[in-house]
Amino acid sequence: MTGSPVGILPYSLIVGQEQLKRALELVFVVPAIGGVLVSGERGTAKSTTVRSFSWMAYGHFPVTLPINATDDRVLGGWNIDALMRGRTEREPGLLERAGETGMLYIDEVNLLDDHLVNIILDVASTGMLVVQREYIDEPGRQVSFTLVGTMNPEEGGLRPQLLDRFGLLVPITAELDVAQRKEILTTVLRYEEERLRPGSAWITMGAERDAEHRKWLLAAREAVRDVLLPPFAATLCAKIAAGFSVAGHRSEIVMAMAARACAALAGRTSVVPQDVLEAAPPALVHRRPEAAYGEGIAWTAKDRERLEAIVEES
Amino acid sequence: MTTWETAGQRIETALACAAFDPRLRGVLCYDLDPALLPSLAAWLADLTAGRGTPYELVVAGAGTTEDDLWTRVRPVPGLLAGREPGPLADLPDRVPAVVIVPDLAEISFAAARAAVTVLGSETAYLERDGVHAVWSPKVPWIAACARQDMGKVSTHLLDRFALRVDARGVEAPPSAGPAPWLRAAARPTALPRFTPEAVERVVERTGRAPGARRDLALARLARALAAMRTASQVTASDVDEAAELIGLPTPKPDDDEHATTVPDGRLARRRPTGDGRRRDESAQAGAVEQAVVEVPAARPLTAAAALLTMAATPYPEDLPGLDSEPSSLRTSWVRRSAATSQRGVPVGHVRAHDLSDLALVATLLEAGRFQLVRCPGHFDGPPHPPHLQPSDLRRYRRAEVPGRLFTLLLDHTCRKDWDWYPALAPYLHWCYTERAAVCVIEVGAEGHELTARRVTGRNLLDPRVVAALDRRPGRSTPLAHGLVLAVDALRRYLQRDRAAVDEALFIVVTDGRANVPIHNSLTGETPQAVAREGVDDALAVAREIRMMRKVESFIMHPRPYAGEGLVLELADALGAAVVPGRDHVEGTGAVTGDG
Repeated sequence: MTGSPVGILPYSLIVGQEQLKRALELVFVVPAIGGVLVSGERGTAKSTTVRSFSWMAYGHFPVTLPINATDDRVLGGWNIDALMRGRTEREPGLLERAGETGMLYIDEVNLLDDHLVNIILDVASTGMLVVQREYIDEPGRQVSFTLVGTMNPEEGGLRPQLLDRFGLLVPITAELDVAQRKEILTTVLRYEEERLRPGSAWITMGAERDAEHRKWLLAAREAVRDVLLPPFAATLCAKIAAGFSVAGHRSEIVMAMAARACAALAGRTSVVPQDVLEAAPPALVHRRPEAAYGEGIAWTAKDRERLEAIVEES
Repeated sequence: MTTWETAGQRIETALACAAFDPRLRGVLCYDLDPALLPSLAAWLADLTAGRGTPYELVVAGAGTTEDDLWTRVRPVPGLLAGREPGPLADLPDRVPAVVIVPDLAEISFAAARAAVTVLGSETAYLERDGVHAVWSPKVPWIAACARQDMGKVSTHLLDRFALRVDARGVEAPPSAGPAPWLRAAARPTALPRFTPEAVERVVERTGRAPGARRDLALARLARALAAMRTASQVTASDVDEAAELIGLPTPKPDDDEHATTVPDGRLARRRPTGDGRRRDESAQAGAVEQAVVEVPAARPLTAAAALLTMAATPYPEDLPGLDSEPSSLRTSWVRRSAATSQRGVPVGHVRAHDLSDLALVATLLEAGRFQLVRCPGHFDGPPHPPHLQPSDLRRYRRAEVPGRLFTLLLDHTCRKDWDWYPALAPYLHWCYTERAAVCVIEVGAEGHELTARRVTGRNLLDPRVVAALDRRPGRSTPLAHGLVLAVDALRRYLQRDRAAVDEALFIVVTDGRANVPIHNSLTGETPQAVAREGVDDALAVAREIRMMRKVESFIMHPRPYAGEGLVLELADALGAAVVPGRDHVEGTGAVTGDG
């Protein structure tokens, strides 16, 4: 695999954003987790990381739903030019294409029009795409994709229903460590210089590392089928969800799936408490009551202590 | 040694840097006369597209719609028309565009969202009205904005403008096109490399900036300046020159307290207050030594505007207490009925009697049924346009939705043991039954002593509304700041874009005892001796609300009787009726503040 033709920093050369990278990898290993929402301040390379991951893991950029989208492009419609020539040609929508490629990426998801959010919710929750509009009457077709969204919380939060559709949530903050910031700066500037050089050894090195990384992820995706979730780990997931007063059961299910992915990535065949400890925060943080409409989406040191106490008690 | 000596040369240098690096093509010029924008756009197009190459000038103004920017109708040979990507799409064989924004503070909602989508992005996507396009954005945006109005601009939008320059003093457009050496420099084949000292200096100069964008913008600017001198390396002095170009002051090392010149000319000390996350960030990022500049006297300034005018930082959003409109790029939750706007979601089609809001597919399919009747050989010969008749036209039938706004300002410090739910019940009931959007502004909440806070929700069921009603009181009352936030919210819904609100109800629950002047809310400085300053500031802001149409205001007073001095003064300024809050006594009904 080589660097992307339209130019993006190779995934393995991205500095920092370890939590986001980990969440994306967990969802790649176990797609049933149901996606990742990245909530972070401006200028924290959210979109770059997601797109670079998609290039590394899937070999193409994700199907992207921008905030300028209209429902005919989301659901699919007619090719208007063909229609004017008297022919009826279907134009597949973004949801259909995402179902074929595996990932739907929504940049600035909290700026999306409400009715588009409702459409996506319907399809994501039922796994069925039914199009009945503008003289198109299509029976439901099964559609399955990993939903990845990025948002800047300064523009407000998401409805709890949509929040819940994202399996994991990663809150991102700006890097304040000076050494890390220098490394980020140096890497980005170097990438901008190197991409003007055809056959750059540095970019090739990044692409090779990406290829190795992909092999590792694919191996984990294969191995995760045999990873056991022992009864104690299932009980632990349920206790943690109850301990954080989370409504519904999706959090413990997602937590268990993410813990299995952690174990597979670590080369284990059975989940250990450390896997649950790692999987819990991104599965819980947006399902707590205080997270509704974007308030309280942060995993604090106090939350961490509380989680560790529950794990130790068990 | 810098490459500019006058303000005009400074702008030209900045534009040349934008031409050099497409990632610097969001250029914000503070205090630039908007009349100069077309000539600056021509100057920049000369560099980016080449001398004499035609370019398209796009104005992103207060009335710009999504259809103006994203897609447009084009003639298609053999057909009536088709759609194609709009001017923002940098596609091959397109005439390059330059976008100018006459006033960033008044930019339309659609244009602001477009700017956020394309500026600073490696890749942009268009999925609209049957059109799909992907491109790497290179269209430059040149925006003008008065410093004093920066508080009205979303920080999210501001962040997209990587290059910001002070244009005060620029009175004439560039007299000639760019010099030949500048044209050559604007087309790099290789980039100068950074020395470790230069990287070190970038991080030093930007201080503890939020995110990596400012580091990158300063570094790219320094690299562009070095490239224009045909240097092979970017040095620390290039970084200093870049910092000087955008007016970035030298940070004071490890100094938590930064000198700030405040509107009345005193020198205040700004301290991190711990008053919310945003404030903490501001304090951390506040490596800003404010320059002292003269406040223009041509137009009376509010305290916020005066503060902005005097703060000669390229990043005014770092000033504490400047609560730029939150959620300003979200689609308005308040909508009016389909009869007068095109905001509602399409729920079907009906026969159209004019060409507005046409449902193209429905129209074509309706016409399709009659093509063989109207033209027996229509589908046999070479393709030709469909035969349309007025009876074929269909327009969208859109969902009707209410256009009401409920704005509630809660002064927690007046509450004490009062249960305000019964008194507020009729208004909350109105809000619920009208499905009104909600904006709640909290004043004097625990932990927010110097500033008010605001939440907006799609309706009364938003859990943050109940959380706000139940918040514990603090000790001080920044009523003036609360009213400033109310003005912002009301303006947004009533005056910007295609105003969505038909009716706004504004309830102020307070005893009128404001004790935090607006300037303290904006600077984060703890007030010393306040006297009437906080009250007077609140009255001044309230008069702005009185001037607004479609707003019905009430002041709810926590006492059983209506006529207390401060409340009546506020009611008079606001043009509001006074409603007694608790234990309503017969005969002491609503008293108008005017009376």
